[in-house]
Amino acid sequence: MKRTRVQQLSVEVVVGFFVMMILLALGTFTIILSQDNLFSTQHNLTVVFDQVTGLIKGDKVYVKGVDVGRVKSLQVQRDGVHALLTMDYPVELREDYRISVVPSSVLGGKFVEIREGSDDRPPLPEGTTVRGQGPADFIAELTEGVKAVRESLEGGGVLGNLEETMANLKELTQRLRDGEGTIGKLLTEDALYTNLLAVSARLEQGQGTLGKLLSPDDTLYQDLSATVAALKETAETVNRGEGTLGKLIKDDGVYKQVDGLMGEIRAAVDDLRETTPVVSFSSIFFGAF
Amino acid sequence: MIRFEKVTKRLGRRNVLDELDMEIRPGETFVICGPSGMGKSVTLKHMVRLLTPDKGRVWVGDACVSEARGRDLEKIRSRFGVLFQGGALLQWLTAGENVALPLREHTQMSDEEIEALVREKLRLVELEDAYDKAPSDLSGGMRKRVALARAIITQPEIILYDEPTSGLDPVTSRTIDTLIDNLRRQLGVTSVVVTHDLHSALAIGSRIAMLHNGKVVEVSAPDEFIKSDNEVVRGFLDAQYITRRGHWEEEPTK
Amino acid sequence: MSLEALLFIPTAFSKRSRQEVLNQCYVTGIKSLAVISVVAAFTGMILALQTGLELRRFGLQQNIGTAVTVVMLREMGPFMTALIIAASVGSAIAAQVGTMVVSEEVSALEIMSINPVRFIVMPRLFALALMMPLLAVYTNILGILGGAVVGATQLQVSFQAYFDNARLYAENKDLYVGLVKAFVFGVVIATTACHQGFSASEGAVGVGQATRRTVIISFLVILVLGYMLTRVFYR
Repeated sequence: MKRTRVQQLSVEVVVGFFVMMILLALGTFTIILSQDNLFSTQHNLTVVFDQVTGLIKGDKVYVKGVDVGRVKSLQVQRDGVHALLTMDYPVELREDYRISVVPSSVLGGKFVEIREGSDDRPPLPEGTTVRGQGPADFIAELTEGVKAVRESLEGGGVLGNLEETMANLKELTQRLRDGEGTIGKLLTEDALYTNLLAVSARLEQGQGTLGKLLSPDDTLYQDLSATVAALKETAETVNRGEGTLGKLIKDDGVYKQVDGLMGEIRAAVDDLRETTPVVSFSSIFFGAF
Repeated sequence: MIRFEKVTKRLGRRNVLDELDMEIRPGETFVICGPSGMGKSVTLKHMVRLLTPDKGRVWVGDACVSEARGRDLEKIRSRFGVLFQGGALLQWLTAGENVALPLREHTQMSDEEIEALVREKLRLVELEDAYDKAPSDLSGGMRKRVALARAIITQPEIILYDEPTSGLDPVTSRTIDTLIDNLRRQLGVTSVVVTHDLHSALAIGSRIAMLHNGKVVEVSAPDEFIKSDNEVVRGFLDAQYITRRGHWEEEPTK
Repeated sequence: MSLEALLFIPTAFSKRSRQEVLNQCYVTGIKSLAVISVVAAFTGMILALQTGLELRRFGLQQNIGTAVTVVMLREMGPFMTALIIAASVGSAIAAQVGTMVVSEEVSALEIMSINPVRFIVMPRLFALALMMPLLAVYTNILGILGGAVVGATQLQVSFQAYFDNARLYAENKDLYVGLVKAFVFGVVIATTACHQGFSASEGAVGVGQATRRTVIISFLVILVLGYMLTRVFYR
């Protein structure tokens, strides 16, 4: 096809313009998709994991369930896997922080979850190595738990004890009925009754300890009073939180640990619930093609 | 100048050339004629290695074109100018650009020099005003003349014409004939013309070869050619109303 | 042949070839824009509508953003572009080259010691390899926009929700793997078309056959290669 020089020039211009526009669009596209906001500062955090079980570059980072960033790089070193996280917001880690790799769905995929820790704990000092925990494989944990419960039930544990107790109880009532032992005799013979009469007679006369107790003599009372005082002191010590028992009662650490465990279990359940839309969406998506 | 040594070429199931021997001398206009499908164009293509012989050799001067490759082949080919049957102009270039193509590709000449030369060659084929026209805007005869201008722009020693007058009206055909003759005289080139148009063959040829069943059955100057006793030649001549008695330039007897 | 053409790629920028390369870019890229626009927009719209209707049953129709974007970037963008270009530009190249062979233009080039591969194949290969990814980007954009329009008008998914959702799962990898695909498809189309064109036999029938074969072979190769590339990049 013949083209004059002007036409040729316009071809060059049009082609050039087209190429420029597309490259511009491509650039914009790239920036949008790379999820890096070029115009706001990024906050980096290096976390050392013992192992990450398939966490990959580009996986998401969640703080309080909000997607705040990505895993930028992963490096395997002597002391573990160094994961560089880049986030839109700075995180303030407290001493009881917890960073873990969490499976994002049953279908696979992982994300990093950061719990900054409670506000009343001191912040982490500068330059501390931040350590993270490997993925809590909650399905495996669940299985483990169920197994432990079953073992304790079956393997001579609780059930066995219970059975033994029942047997003892049965024997005891048997012996009671047969009039064996003191209580048995109490129920079946009247010799004790006569003795009791004798004892009450002696009590009346102020004989023996009990007799003394009831008689005007107050030595026993003094002793008792001292004992009560000592007991009171012990109780106070416990109350002040001293000694093992005291700690057990006063310190809420154990309680908190238990509470935290409960929280985690709840989080795991929540995670499971969260992933449900993803799962159903994926199945629809793949079903459509 | 160009020599065929027992060249055999098989295309499909047929021996198009069967141990063909032929020699073309420098400076002459050698016309190869014969009915269609008798291997005229095939012969021509062997000279520039568009086809390679199955057996035998083709020589151009001292060089064996049928065995040359790479640079050597390019060198041999650069001695030729070829006018193809339909002109074979590149459709997306203008006539001027088509003529300029060999110079653009193989020389370092400036655009101005090239344009001057192109215009000169176009003037030679009397088509100077076609410079900016697309091949599709030109008539068949004009296209062939542009193609001729392209063939001669590198100043070749040998020009090959493949059916230069086929598909053209008699008047245009004669114009082309004149052009070929002029070129030979002005540039002193060796010409090889493949045609089935005996009128043009007799008008421009110094020698005429008759091809039949892959062999040359007759090679002679025009005067002797029309007097030939060869059956094939006679049949061919009669078919075009050329008789032994009348000179070909006279009014053919009907 | 394609490999040989690659050797000539550096000459694409030389003065004598540049014009032809530009012309081919123009023919491949700009002249196909109209048909590509329509196909791209409707591909995106169909994708959005189909997945959207299905997802709506679960109240998840905002996910069409991801569905359309990822499918366009990974597969449909390059694939649709390739089909259109193979059918329009590829067949045109085959017809043109075939005609050139039949009318002895290729022979003429050889006599002039102009390598037909450099002169004919290289500009077309270059133009297709360059323009295909660019056109794929264009197709992607239009497809995604088409999906957004359908989302907003038919499925009550706002533009904001659509694009937020699209950003959630689409990655740069999707985009660039798609572009690699488009590039490969471009090379495939150019190679097939030129190869078929050059092996066109005598006459108009031969040219027609070359054109037909170009379209069929390109389609098949694009499909198979598309699968294999997906396989290579997404295990």
